[in-house]
Amino acid sequence: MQKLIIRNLQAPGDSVALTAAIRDLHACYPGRFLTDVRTRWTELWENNPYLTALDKSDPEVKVLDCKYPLVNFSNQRPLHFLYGFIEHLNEQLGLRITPTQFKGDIHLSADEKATPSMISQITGLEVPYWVVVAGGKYDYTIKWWHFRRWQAVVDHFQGRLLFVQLGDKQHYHPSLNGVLDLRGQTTLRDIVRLVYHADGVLCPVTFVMHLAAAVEGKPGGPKSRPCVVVAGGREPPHWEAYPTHQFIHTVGLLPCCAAGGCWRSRSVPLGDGDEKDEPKNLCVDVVENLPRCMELIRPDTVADRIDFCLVGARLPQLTASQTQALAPFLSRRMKGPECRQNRRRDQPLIFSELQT
Amino acid sequence: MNQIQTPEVSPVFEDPRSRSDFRAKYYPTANGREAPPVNASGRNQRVILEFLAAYYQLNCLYATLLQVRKKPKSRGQTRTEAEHLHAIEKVLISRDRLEDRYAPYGVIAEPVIEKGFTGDVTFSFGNVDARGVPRSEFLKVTAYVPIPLPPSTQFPDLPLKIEGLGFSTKKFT
Repeated sequence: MQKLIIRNLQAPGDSVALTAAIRDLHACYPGRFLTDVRTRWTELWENNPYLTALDKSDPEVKVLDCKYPLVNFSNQRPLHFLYGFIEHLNEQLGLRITPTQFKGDIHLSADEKATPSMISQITGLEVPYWVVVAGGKYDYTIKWWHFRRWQAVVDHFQGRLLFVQLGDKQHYHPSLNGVLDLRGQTTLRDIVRLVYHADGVLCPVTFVMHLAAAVEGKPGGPKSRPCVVVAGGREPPHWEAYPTHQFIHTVGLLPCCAAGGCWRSRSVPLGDGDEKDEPKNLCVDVVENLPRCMELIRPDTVADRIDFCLVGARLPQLTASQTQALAPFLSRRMKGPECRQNRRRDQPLIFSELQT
Repeated sequence: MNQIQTPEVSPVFEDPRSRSDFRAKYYPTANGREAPPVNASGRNQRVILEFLAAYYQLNCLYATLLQVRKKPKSRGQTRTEAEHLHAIEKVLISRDRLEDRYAPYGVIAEPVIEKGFTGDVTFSFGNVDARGVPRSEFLKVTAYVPIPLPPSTQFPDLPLKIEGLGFSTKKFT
């Protein structure tokens, strides 16, 4: 058997896609390879049945850098991101791997599945919930939707859905009102488990979107976990979207993404010295501080897609008593007079006084 | 420290510390530390000052509101209270505009509130990390690679862009 160490040091979403390539390598060539990986995200590989501990100093081991150069043709070739790593492996190894499933390959142990969710442990309640990611890394700020829009969606489902906000403290994740705020409090493995127990996921194009597809559904839930993705026009949908997701995009609608994703990096320059600030990497159509492709996507549209999932997949919603019991655990931010629903910050002086 | 290039800070911004009626106890700290000086010129520092001014105003208005509330209930008191609430709301709207203006630059300004007063504001910026180091520094790798140039060749003649420390337009022979 050929011994391979596959190396990729990209973002966690990329590693999720790589899990699919490793699975498909073994599915297409059973018994031909022993594989190990070197990524920055070891927690995504826990319980993975396709890994064997290999040492790169072993003369029989071949170390392969695996990326997805196919992305450079994503606007021309009708192929999904999952093909990216597979094609690179095929090129380097002279193979003909093909995808066997339309998702990544994340494995949970029996213990992890049996353990009550982090939400259950925090609240003491078994309640349905959706994961929400309302921001992202600073490298591709063009993926961000405005935090007041995320807030408007959360507000729309007040009393019906519990949203659990996730995000790395080192990245841009503004706080939302009325959510269970776990920003900066989760490991990568925690997020895997949280997604496992989640009834749905709401996010931009980001890591949890890939997890939403890659992590199996919990028993009794729908076979595919609903995921509503606010995507805009950066990535071509055939490349990025999973068939079971609600992928809200604008490709084909605007001149800047008329024939495919723009693949640009930032809405405005951040001034951090990164080349992503260069004009060639900046959005060419910014309106109200958002890329027009993201501005076009209204909170109502996103809320409709979630409702679509709730009704279509017959997903559970909160009961009145669950809503009441959850109240102490939710982030409490201010609402001003005229009941401005998008109010986000905590300001008890107004919250208590202007509600009356 | 790299600073945000755009947008410009509000041209009408006035640091409350410059005013004669300034009440220091209502002026919040920034990230647990004293605010930048009035004449700070760095973009991020100016952004901090704008937010602190907004929260200072809120604190002052809230303090006044509490005083109004201590007075006996009357029709006049109710009207005064409503006026103060309205004034607070106007400042909140200004604060929202600040948040909106700087959101695409990755600026987050989260107030730390106790008993209705903002004592501190936690800031994070898109261009620098918590230590003030440009975020792109994490991604920079430097290597020394000597490449001999053909005789009489100058850097500008090369069909590639070279920048960074050590770059020179000096003629190499």
